[in-house]
This record gives sequence, structure tokens and C-alpha cells, in this order.
Amino acid sequence: MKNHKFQQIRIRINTSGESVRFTVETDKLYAIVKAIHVSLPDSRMLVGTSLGLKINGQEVFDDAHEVRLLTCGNQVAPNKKFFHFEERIEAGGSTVEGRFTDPGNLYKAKYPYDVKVYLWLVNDPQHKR
Amino acid sequence: MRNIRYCIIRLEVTHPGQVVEISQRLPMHVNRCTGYLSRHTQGIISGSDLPEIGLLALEFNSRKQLYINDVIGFQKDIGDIPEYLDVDIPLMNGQLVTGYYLDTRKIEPKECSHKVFAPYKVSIYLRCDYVKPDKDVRSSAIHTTAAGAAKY
Repeated sequence: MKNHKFQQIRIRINTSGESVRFTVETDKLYAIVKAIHVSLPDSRMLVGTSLGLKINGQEVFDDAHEVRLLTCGNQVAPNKKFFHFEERIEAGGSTVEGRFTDPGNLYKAKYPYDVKVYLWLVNDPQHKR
Repeated sequence: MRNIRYCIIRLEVTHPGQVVEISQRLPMHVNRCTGYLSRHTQGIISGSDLPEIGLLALEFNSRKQLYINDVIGFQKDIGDIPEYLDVDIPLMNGQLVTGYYLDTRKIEPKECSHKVFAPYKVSIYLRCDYVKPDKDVRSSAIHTTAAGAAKY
């Protein structure tokens, strides 16, 4: 069985300043959430955008946590694009609840647009950063 | 095993040279601050990087310890994921984080004639560790007095 999986969560933002709640389950075949990456259609939209995250009811990020701290520019090396969790976060069918907040129409973003949140799941129970 | 809680302090600067006072109580359960990061969040639009937009001083444990002095800048381009500065500050339960932020943006007089100072936001992120309470706490362990009293 594979040891890595990138689970994608797609969030549709329809209007400026919208705040969207989402709930998904992590893949049951993978034990740990190792890292996260958030992808937006335009890097200028990162300014002021925030993502809150709870996994298994445990707060990982506050609702005001900026997406900029979880993502990077295109020129960054692939292995450095993810934000690695320093704590151990159990996957294995865990409930992921989140809230994505659009900051408003600062850069004339085209609505609707899709935000993609990638969870890097691994299967090694001894995983450490 | 580490348990991490990111505490966010948000500041809003509305006029040039403003001093914004910081006074925020940290959650009761965090016991150590292990990382610090602060950055411009929203408001400034500039075609180039600005090495300094303000100065920040932070004190912990209700003004008992001054730990952080920092210069806040503005970064135009989106590069690497910002990294936390490693710190090791023991936190007393529910104490205040205090300090100030001073806006030092220089706006040339010529620029002022056609540009208005735009309010902006700065966020301070504190990466704090906490200890999870044990899940299997027996009720007799909590109510020892009551349990003891019931014997007699």
C-alpha cells in the first residue's frame, strides 16, 4: 500500500467577503496528517485570506489564521511548499472542520473561484517531522 | 508529544505615527511560547518591498519580561512559507501579553498631496505549547474529599 496521499478539499467561493464552512473526513487508510497546502487562483488574493481548521474537534488553526502562513509562491521548491505540522495529528477517518474567509474584493478577483486545500497524509505511525 | 496552539494578536493602524497598545490575555492552558512571527496582513499596497513600516515591542507574563523587539516590514512578493522565530518563553497561566506597535512609515510630503494614508493591519502569531489533560481521570481522583467523607 502507498505511504503518502494528497487529499484535496475543494471550496467554492461565490461572493466577495464570503466565509464558507466545510466538513470532510480524512482517508481512513492513512494514519497521520503530515502537512497542509492551500492553493488559490491568484497569489494577490492571499492578502487577508484566512483559514480556520479543527481536526477531531481539536483546534489546529484559529479562524483568523492567515492562508499566507500555509502557502507560498510558485518559485518555491516542491518539497517546501507545504506547511508541516509539528504536532502529531491523527488522520484515519478524522473529521476535518474548517472555515475559509475571503477578505473582500481587493484585487478584483473573479467570482466564483475555487480554493483547494491539500492535506498530506502519511501512513508511517512513527512519523516525525 | 507536542500540542500546539497558535495565538493571534491583530492590530489595526489607522493614522501615521500611531502607537497601538497591545494587551491580550493568552488562553489559560498554554504554558510555553515556542515561536514568534509578525507580519503585515492587509491594507498596504506597494510596488516594492518596504523594509520598515513599524516597530514592535512585546512583553510577556503581565509586563514581567520584555522578550521581543522587532521591525515589521512589507513584502511585496509571495515567497517561502514564513518561518517562526524560535523562542522559549515560559508562560504563567492566563497572564497578559502587552506592548506596543509604533507606525514608522515615511510618507513624503509630495506623496501626501495626492495620497491618503491607508489604514493597515498587522498580525502577531505566537506558537504556544500546552499539555493535554489526561482523558481517563477517575471521578474519585477529582472528588477525593467527597470520597473520603463518604467513608465516615
